[in-house]
Amino acid sequence: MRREWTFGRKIAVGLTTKGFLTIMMAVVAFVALQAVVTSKDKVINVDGPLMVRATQLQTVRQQLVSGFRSYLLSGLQDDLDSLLTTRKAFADTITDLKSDANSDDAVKLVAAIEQQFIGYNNATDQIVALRKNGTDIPTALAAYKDQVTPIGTALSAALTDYVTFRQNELIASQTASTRTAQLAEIVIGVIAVLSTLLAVFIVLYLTRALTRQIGTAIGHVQSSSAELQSAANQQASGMKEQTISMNEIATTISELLATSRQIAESSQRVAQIAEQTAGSARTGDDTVDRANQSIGSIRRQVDQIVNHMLELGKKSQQIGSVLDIVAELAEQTNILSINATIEAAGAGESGKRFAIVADEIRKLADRVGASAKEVRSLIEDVRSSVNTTVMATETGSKAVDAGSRQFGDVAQAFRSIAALVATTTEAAREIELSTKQQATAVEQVNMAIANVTQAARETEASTSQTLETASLLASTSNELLRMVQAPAQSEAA
Amino acid sequence: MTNTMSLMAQPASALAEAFDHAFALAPAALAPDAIDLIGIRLGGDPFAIRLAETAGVFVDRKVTPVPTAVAEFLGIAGIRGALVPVYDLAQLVGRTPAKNVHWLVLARQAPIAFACDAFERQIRLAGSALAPRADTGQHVREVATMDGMARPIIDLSSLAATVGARAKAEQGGSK
Repeated sequence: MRREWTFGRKIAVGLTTKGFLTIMMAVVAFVALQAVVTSKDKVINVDGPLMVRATQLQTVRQQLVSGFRSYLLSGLQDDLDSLLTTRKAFADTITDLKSDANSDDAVKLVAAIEQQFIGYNNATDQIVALRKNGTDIPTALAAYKDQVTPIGTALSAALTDYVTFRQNELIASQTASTRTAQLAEIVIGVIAVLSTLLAVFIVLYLTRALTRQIGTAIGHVQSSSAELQSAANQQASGMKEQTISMNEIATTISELLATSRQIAESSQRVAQIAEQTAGSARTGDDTVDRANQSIGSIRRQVDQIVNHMLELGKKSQQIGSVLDIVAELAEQTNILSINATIEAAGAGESGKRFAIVADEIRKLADRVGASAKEVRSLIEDVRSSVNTTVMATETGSKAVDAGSRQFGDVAQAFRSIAALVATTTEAAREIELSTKQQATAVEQVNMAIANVTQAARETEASTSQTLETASLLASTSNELLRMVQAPAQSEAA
Repeated sequence: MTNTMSLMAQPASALAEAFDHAFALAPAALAPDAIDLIGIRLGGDPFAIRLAETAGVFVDRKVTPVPTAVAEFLGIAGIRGALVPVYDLAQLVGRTPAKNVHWLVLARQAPIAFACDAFERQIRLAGSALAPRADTGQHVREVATMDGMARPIIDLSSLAATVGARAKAEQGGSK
């Protein structure tokens, strides 16, 4: 048997083999018994009746002899009828023997009997005829002795041969039946011995194999139970540590849950503030737009002022040109009056009146010249002021342009702020939603941790049970080892 | 500015009225020692010339340079139908040369014109306002004080005589 076969398979194979041998032994016994029964039936049903018929035939022959003698002695018809009846019974018996002849020797022997019987009947019929003719008894007896007795002896010898043959047949059948029975006994005995030996072999093999394999398995079970105990101990300690860790994790997750809620509240406040900021940004954007429009209006007015100032500068320059003419005229008038005064002085007394006129003209020219100078100064002041104003206005225009651009930048910044605040609001809402989801998830995780903690505790308890089971398994394996091994081996194991 | 405002405050009609009013009154007698001066500037400094020593004041007359070894001699100009020599008055009184010859003063003493940087105005002062000063060879013998400022008075007649004499001397030397 192979090592990898299971115990059940090995036992099944062993029991099947044993059962096969038993069945074979039963079949052989049955066959042998059938053979014995057949030979016995042959002895009883065939050879026995044939022997009986042969014996009966001898008896009938004796009756036939007796009846014939009786008839010879009495000469009565009744004795003759009885003789004929006996003869008929003898003939029927021969007929039966012929039908029962199962061999050539039997057929020959029956034929010999029949032949002798026919001769005997013929001989006796002659004697009967003598008797019926009134022949006296001694003559009849002498004829009987001469004619019938040899044939009767021959018939008796044939009957004896047939009986002997049947006796031999019966003895042969008995011997064959006995041999068959003895052979069946031998075969059954051999099969029984073989079956017993095989059963012993199977028992020994199974015992050894099962003992060896079960011992090995028990050894494995013992080592496994020891490892299981160690693992259970480690698992128990690990479960304790896991329980402690799970408690710490649960505490941390509770703090995380509180933090998540605080974050959600902060995100909600941030969203509210962001919405307020977005409103302020939109208000600021509108204000900046209005201010930008006002700046545009100011810029247009400043451009108009610049144009007016430039026009004023041009007019002042034109006034200056006119004033130059006036000053030139005043100067020429002054020179002319001086020259007139000089001429009047040279004219003597008559030139005094002209000198007065010239002097007045000179004074007027002086005044006009002074006024022209003043006007020029004023015009220069005006032009300077205009230039200053134009420069200041251009500076202001540039400042207005810069301010307009800056306001544009501010407006863009406000729009960017509004967009960013909108993004911030959306982000804050997403953060709030995410944080709420996170809080929900953390709660679920907390519940899961609680479940895991409970499971760890249950696992710890089951580990204790496992430990107890491992101990029980170890003791059971020892018991099994003691059961399958000798005490010395068990102690050695 | 106050003066400016006062002048500016006078309308043209007021000026015309003042001008006409001057002719409505009797001629005021001039102070016996009144002296008329012509205020000029030479090299930025104020000077004065007696009106009685001038034959006329001219402006923007073309001065045609002529070859000469005299540095002060600027050229000749046509004045009242006559060609007169033109001298740089600033150099003659020891000042830096005139930058332009915009103004010409014709001497009464001789037909000689003197160029000056600028003509200021006619000045009428009392004789007491004049003070003598030692001549240092620059034809300045008097100084007029007006408005707290000293204004040297160039002796144009002496200057014309000197220039004329020197010209004659040069003419004699050249012959």
